[in-house]
Amino acid sequence: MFRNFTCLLLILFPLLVLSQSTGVIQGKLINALDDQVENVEIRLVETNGKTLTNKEGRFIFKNLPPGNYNIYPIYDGFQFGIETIQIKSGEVQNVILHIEMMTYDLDEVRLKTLSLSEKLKNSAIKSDIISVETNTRRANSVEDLVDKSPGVKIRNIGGLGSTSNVIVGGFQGNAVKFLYDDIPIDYLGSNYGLTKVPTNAISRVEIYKGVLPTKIGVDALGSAINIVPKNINKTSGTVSYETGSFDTHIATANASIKLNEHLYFGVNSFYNYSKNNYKVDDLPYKDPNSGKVAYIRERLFHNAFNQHSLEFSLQAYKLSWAESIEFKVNSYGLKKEIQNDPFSRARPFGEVYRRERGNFIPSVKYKNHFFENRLSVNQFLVFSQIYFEIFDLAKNVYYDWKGVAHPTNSGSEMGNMLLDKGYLENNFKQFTSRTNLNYLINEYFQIENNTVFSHYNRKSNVGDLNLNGTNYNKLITNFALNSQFFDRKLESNTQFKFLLGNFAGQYNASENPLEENIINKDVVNTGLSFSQALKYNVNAKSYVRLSYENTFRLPEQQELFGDNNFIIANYELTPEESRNMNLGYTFAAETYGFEINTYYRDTKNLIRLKDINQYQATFLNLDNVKGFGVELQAHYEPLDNLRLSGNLTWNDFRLQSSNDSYENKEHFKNARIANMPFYYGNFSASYNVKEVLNLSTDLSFFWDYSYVHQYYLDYIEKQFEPNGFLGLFGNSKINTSRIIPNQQTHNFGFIYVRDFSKQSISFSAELKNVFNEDVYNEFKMQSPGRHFRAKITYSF
Amino acid sequence: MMKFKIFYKAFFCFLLLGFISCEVNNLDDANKIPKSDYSSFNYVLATEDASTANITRFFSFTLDDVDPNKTYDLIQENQKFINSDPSTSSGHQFFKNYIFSMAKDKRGFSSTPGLFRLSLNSSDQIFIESEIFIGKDNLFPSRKLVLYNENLGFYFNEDTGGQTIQSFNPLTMQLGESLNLRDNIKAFRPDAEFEDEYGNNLIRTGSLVMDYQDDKLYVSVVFLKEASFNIIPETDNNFYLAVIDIPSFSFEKIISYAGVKTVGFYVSENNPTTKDEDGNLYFCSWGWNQFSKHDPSKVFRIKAGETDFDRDWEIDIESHFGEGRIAQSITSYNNKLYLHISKDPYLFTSSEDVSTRNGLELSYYEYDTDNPQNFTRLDIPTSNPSARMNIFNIIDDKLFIVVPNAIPGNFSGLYSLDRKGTLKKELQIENKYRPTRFYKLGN
Repeated sequence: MFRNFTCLLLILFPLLVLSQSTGVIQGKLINALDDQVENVEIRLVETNGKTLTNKEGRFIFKNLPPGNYNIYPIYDGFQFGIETIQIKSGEVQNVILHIEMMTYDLDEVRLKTLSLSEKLKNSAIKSDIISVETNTRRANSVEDLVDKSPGVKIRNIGGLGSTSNVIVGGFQGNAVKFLYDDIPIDYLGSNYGLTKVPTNAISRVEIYKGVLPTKIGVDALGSAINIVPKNINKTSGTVSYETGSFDTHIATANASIKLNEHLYFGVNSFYNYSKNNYKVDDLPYKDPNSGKVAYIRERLFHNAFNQHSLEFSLQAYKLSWAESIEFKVNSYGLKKEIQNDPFSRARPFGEVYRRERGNFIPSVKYKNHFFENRLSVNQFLVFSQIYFEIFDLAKNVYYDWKGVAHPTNSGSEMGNMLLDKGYLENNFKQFTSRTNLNYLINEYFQIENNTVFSHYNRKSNVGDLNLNGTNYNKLITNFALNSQFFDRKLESNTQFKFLLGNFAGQYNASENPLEENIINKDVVNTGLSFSQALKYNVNAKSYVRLSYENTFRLPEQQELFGDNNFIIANYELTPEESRNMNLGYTFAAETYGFEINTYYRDTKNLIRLKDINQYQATFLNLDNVKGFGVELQAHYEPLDNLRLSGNLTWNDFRLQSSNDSYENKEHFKNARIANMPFYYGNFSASYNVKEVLNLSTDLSFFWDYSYVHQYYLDYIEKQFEPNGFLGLFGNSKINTSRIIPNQQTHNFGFIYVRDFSKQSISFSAELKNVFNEDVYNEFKMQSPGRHFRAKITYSF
Repeated sequence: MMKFKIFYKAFFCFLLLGFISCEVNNLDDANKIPKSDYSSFNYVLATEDASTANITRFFSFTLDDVDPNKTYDLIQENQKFINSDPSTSSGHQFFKNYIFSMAKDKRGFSSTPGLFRLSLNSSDQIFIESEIFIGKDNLFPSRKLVLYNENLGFYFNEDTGGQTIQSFNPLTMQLGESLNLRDNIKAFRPDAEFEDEYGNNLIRTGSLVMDYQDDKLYVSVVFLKEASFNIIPETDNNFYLAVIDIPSFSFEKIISYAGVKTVGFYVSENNPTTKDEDGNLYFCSWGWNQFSKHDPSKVFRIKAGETDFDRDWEIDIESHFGEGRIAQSITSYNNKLYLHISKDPYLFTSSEDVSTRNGLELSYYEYDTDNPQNFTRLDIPTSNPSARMNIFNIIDDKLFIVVPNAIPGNFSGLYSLDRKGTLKKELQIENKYRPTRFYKLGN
């Protein structure tokens, strides 16, 4: 692998010596919205470059090869007007950028209203924006990018298409919600899962911790991840091909075509394939002669994944009746071989797999403004039908970890009697409507309403008591007041959120699988959340954020309905509730910046799966958890083109009590939540050698380091925790093998970008887990060791 | 601004320093050097956490160092009680310096099946010293094992066939011969269904009982109605035992006992059989048949020198204690039988509800085997049920009895009874530990 990597470098380096005369873009920013001109980010599309303005609002991009360049400012998370500049050899081009200017040719007053409206909506909400577009050239996954964010930790067994468990801001599992373009992502199945979606397919990822923006109508307990697709605004396209270890191949093709002044056609597609046949240690293997178990290192042999995804869109802008309307159709299919059960690699499966497909998922998005742009209307509608299938068809056979089949006596490999003759099909139909309205009262006040209604219908080929499937309706509506005070020094977002979950149907209430106790049930769950977020701008470089919320999460349909066999339905579940406080300070200067965020959570009625007899379990409202966390992040640019950044998270979430009054859990009061990392961080360095080597093109090298502190799989009494500072070192009174050890990984790579007049080509390669460290998921299953990815991207 | 830069740089350095390895010591049990000196820390108490059976901890200690009048927090006193957690269950069988467990990485009622031999390391911690693979899925694996002598043991090996008894050498952990009873069962019951329409095994051998008497191995034969949940048909009201001649490792016959469907519990390592010093083999049925009708709990036997059930001898627990009462553990000591019997009706359908598990009391009784109507209650505090464990052990020629109690205020710990009938409180522990088994290991 190292040899291949070296060869790539040797091939690429001769390209670097090619040089040509370059030009310069310099300019000045004029901000018509307020006085701030310093530290505004200016982006150069073609080189992926960005810089900050100085005190006078000036900026500069040097060493630009001849060609056309698009440049625009980003202010308060909002993209302002793009300027196109042509650079000739040795030329210096001056440009003036305006913050109030938009790409649309409307009158200035209305534009200013729009900008103010956008600014008010998001001003007080804490979010981490991961610009995926700037990373599309990296041989990197979206999961890798998100995992590097402060407060985020993703655990999976690695490999393309694997399932993952995400921790954000102290929440995990169903408490963290996923969205696609502000809409709860369920309607797309797992097509846009973090381990599946390539970077080229999306624009950015927004990570919200604490109070969620009004536009996101979900019942998260306090964290959400929003995947934002690319915007169509010109004729352009990108194709990429990525390959890597374990026979991994990822291809993407995205294009948008301007059909006329009003109409754009877009396609966003990708294909993933990987054998995921990485080697892992400690696989139990039966010695054929002695019958003894030997622990061997072997390649996974039934772990392949393939996926295709297509998204077609037709967007119309600047119509008499709509600012924009977009028709979109998604279609996807995936197949994942299942190598072992989710909790252990004690036994491999050789033929089990799952399939998922959503053939035709139409959606429409309408956007318009009224009353001189004071009222914005954003409407989204989607209908989806997704088939989830599990195949466990092998009979009387079991496999060993060398992939050899042996005869045995069983009806299936998984031993799961839930399946009907080795087959399970769940058919999910979903209709979702989201309406977002906001009205700008004046320059300082805006009211906003966001309503999401979803109707779910689940039909299974096994044990469905309801002839037409089981229905679940969910309504979440937010009312918000966005405001600014004291000459915009203080920004505020106040929200009231009403949640309603209604399900009706028959279910078997008997805990005895031999008996039926069919009950008709019509249940309504409600919740009323309140949140208040404040942002105080101390000066142009720093601000403080403070927020409080009392929020609810409605039970998910799988928690309510069970699986008709091993997980018994529980229609008595009530919403989880959490009271959250967040406090943060941010400082950003020209070459450095840092941020401290702290959060406190008091969560009640956490829903947890619990055994109720020898073989069956049900979801119950059980645990109450309280605690706080601290996140630190910083970046520093000690030299031109050298960027260092890092973050560190320490969580202290502890069990308070269990609602199961008979259970003697008192000794675990204040115990750290089991099987959840509590101290982790990342450190990254990137250096662009373009200027050092006097190159005409970008060549950046980067190094990423990740650390996860060891954590226990079980609850450990607080008094027995390691006795060092913050429980991070020292002696524990517990001796156990049930622990995930310290994990440290290093990734190293480079990106080479060659720009032509209207096209660019880039090549990147990355060596992951350079030192071949042992990395595990939450069930102590080992993830891939050292492996590589390489990617070529062509944009036009 | 300068001050700020200094603060900022310090902050950045702090971030970097944060990654400097913060290693916690003595967490992992990686020491696989066997213990050589068994003069101390040679007694081992296995416990489950009071809130979850998934956490099983082993504590090695020196019995003479224990103050029976003190209540110990075992982990807190980690100099006196060396704790370890090899992620296995507490196995029923042990000899020399080995404990044999048949479940690893417990998650509720599922676990990784296998034959795991545990031992003490030089740090007095229990570790998995050797293991034999059982390629069965993790639902309803059998956990029955018998050690005939130091060089011969047997277990139900469902991975090589639905009715296969596997022999092995407990000292070397080498597999020996295997015996497939399929043809013998077919001859006994020609219309028996061996698999369901999906291919799941419907006849399990050795899933409930596996024990020996003289040179005969006794293996339960269970005819299931459905593979799901190990359900026995209501119409079948017999308990079946295959008799296997050990020296020739060959099938002899199948015997049956009427009025009893099950003995012991499928997913338990609780051994529901015991032999007295005269060689009589006793079987304890707690009447369990999952969700179906429950039979009265009974104790019955095969007399020494016989290879069929003794129809003239039986203990009917309900006739002594009332309807719904059951005996859950059994052992023989000093030619008397000891039983763990519920004070109130046992709630089978909710036996795993914490309210049932922690609410029900069981008492300890001594039975005169010559006159089964003659029984006395031992002066030991009542305990919670012990569905997955056998609370009796004979060590140092004494009967040791564990008393699991999860509710604070109730006694949790260990008693002993000697041949003279003297009861002694040996160890009292906090209620967060449910003692499950007591061992003494040695060279």
